[in-house]
Amino acid sequence: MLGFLSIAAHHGEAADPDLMEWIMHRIDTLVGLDAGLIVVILVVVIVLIPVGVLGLYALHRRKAEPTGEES
Amino acid sequence: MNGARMNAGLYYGWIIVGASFFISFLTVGGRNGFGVFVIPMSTEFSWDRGTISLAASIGFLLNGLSQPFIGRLYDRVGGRKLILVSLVTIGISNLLLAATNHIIFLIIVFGVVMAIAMSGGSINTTVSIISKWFQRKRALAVAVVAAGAPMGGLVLVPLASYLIELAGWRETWAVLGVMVLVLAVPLAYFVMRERPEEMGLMPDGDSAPDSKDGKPDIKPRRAPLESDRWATCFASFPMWQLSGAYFVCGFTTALISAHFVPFAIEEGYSQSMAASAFGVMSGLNVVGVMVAGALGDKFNRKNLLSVVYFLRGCAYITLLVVPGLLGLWSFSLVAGFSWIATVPLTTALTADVYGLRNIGILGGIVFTAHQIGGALSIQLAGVLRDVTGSYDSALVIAAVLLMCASLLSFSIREKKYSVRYQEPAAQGA
Repeated sequence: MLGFLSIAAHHGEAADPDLMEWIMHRIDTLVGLDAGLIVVILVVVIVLIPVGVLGLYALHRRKAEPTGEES
Repeated sequence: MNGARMNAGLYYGWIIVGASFFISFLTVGGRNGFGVFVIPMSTEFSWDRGTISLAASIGFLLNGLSQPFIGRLYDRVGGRKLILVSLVTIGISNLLLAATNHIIFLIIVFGVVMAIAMSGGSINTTVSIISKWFQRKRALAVAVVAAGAPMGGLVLVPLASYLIELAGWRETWAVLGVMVLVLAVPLAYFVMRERPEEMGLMPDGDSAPDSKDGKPDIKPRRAPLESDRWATCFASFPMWQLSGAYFVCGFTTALISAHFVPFAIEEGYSQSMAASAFGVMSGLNVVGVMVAGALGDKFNRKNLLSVVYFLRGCAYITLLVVPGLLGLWSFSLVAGFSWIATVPLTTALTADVYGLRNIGILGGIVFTAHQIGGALSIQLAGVLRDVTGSYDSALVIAAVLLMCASLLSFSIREKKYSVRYQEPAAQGA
């Protein structure tokens, strides 16, 4: 059973630990920013996506409400 | 005045595409980050790589096998409820993973609960909803959602890695869970809608034609092979053509994912060169899927799908016959470009041919074929490598299969079976 499950081990481990370590080292070398600052930048990027979509949703609601077109 | 006739602004379907993109971005991208937890968790608990990878392996298999069942659930209860329940489950599972204290706990939470919940919030579910909102621009809309997964990987995997470095793996699991619960759940709750008719809209934001009684007719068009019973669709030939080709897609992409770096190192390239080529390949996913989506709405989709498989087959042949860096980089560019370009074309074709009634289960079956191909190729390539001493035979099999997939896709009778090529007047009830 364990042998069978090992079939997918590589695939489940999509980000190979050794490869990731190498990539992180490359990012550090290229960007040269503090780890904390990189985290803040990435979190801001992530948060901006849903905020942007919800902003468009709010605009759509505002346009639609006066005509009563949405149920 | 009906909304279908006055939607001069942004079509609401694109807002749903944005929400679906983010769900793919956060859930698939987050799951792909499991690798960065391997070293810190195995170090703390003294697990070897094989033990901790067991959770990921079980998760991979359960995620693939549960797709048709989750797809059936989608067809019955609707996508919005399914996505919301799945996202809440994924978020709570992430939080629970912060409290991991035993391998069994990790297997149950990550490998079982989260893997099945992932099926509910998967691309298969979101693109099933997208297919209802788009007909003419279906491939492009699906492509945007599909692009969310690799883009999520590009952002979330480094984020998880840096967070582990700064705060620890438990805190990182917790942060990922909070992000799903605070960002994705409200987004899905407010934005997701099952179908455009709920809002008095037509697919693609088109104006509704007037019916005989003078009211706009906003009923969706029926696909040529649409049936009340999914088994009837399953028994038809295009389903096997699409699933067969998608099996080859899974076979050839998983082969690259698992064996490309070891192959390149065996061929004499440095680890950093192999990783660079792999990184470029991963980055090109997004470009390839967007181009395929845009072209898929303008041209015959089965021909494009055939071209994508053909190009990927040529990439494998190049890797086999062109020596040196030229072969390696040519393969990386072409294979990377074609990697997920099949997703919008296959998904859009499935919806075009079989309609929207059973899109969840049919999409789930096609996706399962993809996952079976992936699991098979990883094992087969490993065995062939051990027996023959090289990856050449596995690469030859992949190239041959891709040419077969190209022919299989080309043989789909799209003009006969796709709703895109049916005259509205010829539509049945």
